[in-house]
Amino acid sequence: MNTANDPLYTAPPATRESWVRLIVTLCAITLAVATAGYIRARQDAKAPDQLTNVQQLFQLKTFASSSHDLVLVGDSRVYRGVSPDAMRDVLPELRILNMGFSSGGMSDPLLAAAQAKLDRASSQQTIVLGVTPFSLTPEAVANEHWHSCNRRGPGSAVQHAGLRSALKAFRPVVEPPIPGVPSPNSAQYLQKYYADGWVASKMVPPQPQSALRQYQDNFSRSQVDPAVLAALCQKVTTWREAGIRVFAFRPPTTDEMVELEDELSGYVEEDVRQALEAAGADWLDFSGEFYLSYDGSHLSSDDAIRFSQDLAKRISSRYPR
Amino acid sequence: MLFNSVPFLFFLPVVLTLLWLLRRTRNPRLLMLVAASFVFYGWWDAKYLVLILASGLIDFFCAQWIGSGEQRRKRFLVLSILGNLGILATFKYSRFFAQSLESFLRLYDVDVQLVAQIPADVVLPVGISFYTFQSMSYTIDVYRGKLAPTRNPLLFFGYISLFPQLVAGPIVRATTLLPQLEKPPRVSSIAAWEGLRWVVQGYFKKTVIADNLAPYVDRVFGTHHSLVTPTDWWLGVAMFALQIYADFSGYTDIARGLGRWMGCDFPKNFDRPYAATSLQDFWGRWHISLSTWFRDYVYIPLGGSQCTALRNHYNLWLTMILSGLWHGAAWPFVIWGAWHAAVLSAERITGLHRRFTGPIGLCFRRAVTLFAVFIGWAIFRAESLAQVRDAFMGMAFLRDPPTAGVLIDMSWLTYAILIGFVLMQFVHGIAGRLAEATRERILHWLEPPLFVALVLAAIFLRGPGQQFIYFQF
Repeated sequence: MNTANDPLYTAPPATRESWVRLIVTLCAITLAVATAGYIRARQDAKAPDQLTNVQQLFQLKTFASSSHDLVLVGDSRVYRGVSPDAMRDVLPELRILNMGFSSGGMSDPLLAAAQAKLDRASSQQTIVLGVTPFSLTPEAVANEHWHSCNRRGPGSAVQHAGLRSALKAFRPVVEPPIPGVPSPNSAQYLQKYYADGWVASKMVPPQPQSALRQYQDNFSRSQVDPAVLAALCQKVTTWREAGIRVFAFRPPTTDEMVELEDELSGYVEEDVRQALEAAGADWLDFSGEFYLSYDGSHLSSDDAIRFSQDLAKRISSRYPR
Repeated sequence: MLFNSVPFLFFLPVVLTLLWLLRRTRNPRLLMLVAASFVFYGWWDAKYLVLILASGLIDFFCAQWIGSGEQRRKRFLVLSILGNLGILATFKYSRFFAQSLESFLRLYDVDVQLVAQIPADVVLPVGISFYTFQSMSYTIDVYRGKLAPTRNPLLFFGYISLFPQLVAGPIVRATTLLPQLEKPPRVSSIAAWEGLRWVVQGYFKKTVIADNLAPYVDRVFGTHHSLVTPTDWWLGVAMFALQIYADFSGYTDIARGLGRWMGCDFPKNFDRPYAATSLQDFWGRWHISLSTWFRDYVYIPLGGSQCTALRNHYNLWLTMILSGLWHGAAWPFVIWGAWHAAVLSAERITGLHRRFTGPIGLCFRRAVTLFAVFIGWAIFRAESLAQVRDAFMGMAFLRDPPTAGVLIDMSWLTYAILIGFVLMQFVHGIAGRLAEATRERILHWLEPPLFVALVLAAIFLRGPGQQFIYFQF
């Protein structure tokens, strides 16, 4: 059947474009795209690499290469609260990775995995531990989330990481909006994912009490285990002997959350601090009153950036470069 | 594999080169096309190629037996239809039917766990509704004597699996595509240029328009209703109307453009649907290949309009509800189909849509049609029946509106897209007439720089990458 008889078929226009016109246009398109990409690459060489989904984020951090100077370890307060890109405002020469995972506990396998992300040739190997009360509980050290990422394998995000890096020159010029995530309560949960491991998060409107109930439940099931702290200290000692700098801090959160954790979790900050300092870590003190949390546990994105810069300044002041 | 993915950038030149090298040899060319289409589809999940093979083999052999003039030809037609619908029922509708039955039985205090019995790996394969419908139309046309069955399995599988339109249409009839595949592909400079025009336009629609609107639409429909203002709901629905049009017609444009480069002509699937002056007119402009499929293989065999008025409405409702169910296995899609049937029935009964003539009358008809279509999109996009209710209550100002709303940070690009779309509705007719008159002279010079600009926009003004919406159907 001749498609020209088909009523749905659009007849081609009567113009007589030549092959030359077609080839010249294709060359012009290629040239324009290459030129724009070159200009964009020069403009935004250091811009943070934003991801499209959360699965890519955790694949990338789980299977990141051993090419970093500083690795942050912890739970969601670390991956939502510390932006490596903001830290680089203060420590521009460092390659930083945020290895925080949901309910991340200070278990030996996770700590070993974090160490493996360091560049052995680097003279500035540093591990920064975000020690929350929950991260020292038996439930957290099971590290279900991290294990599930490991089981899933590297996936396309990691396989195409080099390609994505090359395609960075073709990043859109308009910043995409923060995607909305269905929230369990009547607030809008907004999150952006970055290849360096940070999740910029906020709730509109903020719900500063909303996480308290969940943490009450968490600590009714599982409390701080001294054996976990002892194993962590052991690991810190090993790192120090290997020449790796170690910093530890309690990620800032709301006063209500600190009170709840101190009351229910069995976490005594002074004891944790002394134990880690005895093992060779540098303890950094931060007060939650300077940073806003959107849900009573995690820092909202603007405050996370401010906190990350403060954290970097404190690290820098201990080891001036 | 997605048209808007990096692997496709490498895949396409290889296929076009091989096609050109094999253009004079029929079976090796068809074998290459089938293999390329299977790679394209298998990139998502190779195990679901079995379904295309199964559906294809059933229809290939059934058509042979039907075409051989055996007395049992009706049985083979039934076998073909049941085979295809069986695949659809299993992979697309089993969970929906099981959930609905569970809920129904629970009303009578009968507690059965049917969903739990369905294996977890039974998931909805990409594009299943498109290729099963395309394959089914082949056996039905053979049965009706419109087409002689092909004896070449490569030609047949080339027809049902041709990669540009495999996963999201347009649904091309065998009477149109088989003869094109059989002949050596001839691509003139005009066809190649037109292909480029469609491809560039399709990518622009998808990456700039649809993908930039998607996050805001997702935000409206992904947020608790207490935070969404009536303005958010209306704007969200309007943006979804534009998103789904740009997304789906963008895919069709790319598919048609690729088809042109491969020496094939796929039928037009959209014709300015939001300029429709009635819902009946809308269905002549929206997803034309599907609406004509339902017209030819469901509505007319049921009796169409050549029957009593009551029976005619029944045929209409059944066709539209089946069309809704085709889009997705969920109650909002069924209600969406029923809503369209209700408005179409109302149009037929009252004939109001024909009474308004003249420029003002046409504007009024367009506005009423757009309103009906928007209401339909609100139902279509809702995640659940509860959200359908929330959306309608919000749109009708029946809830206390929150103070802030969720669309507080729209980018300049999003505003530009929305304003551009509204302006396009007004200037399209004038521009179209102008283009007709001056096409030869102006387009010749205007199109090359326009293509460069559209490609740059598709790359540098693109929204967050998203899969094409119609893949899920």
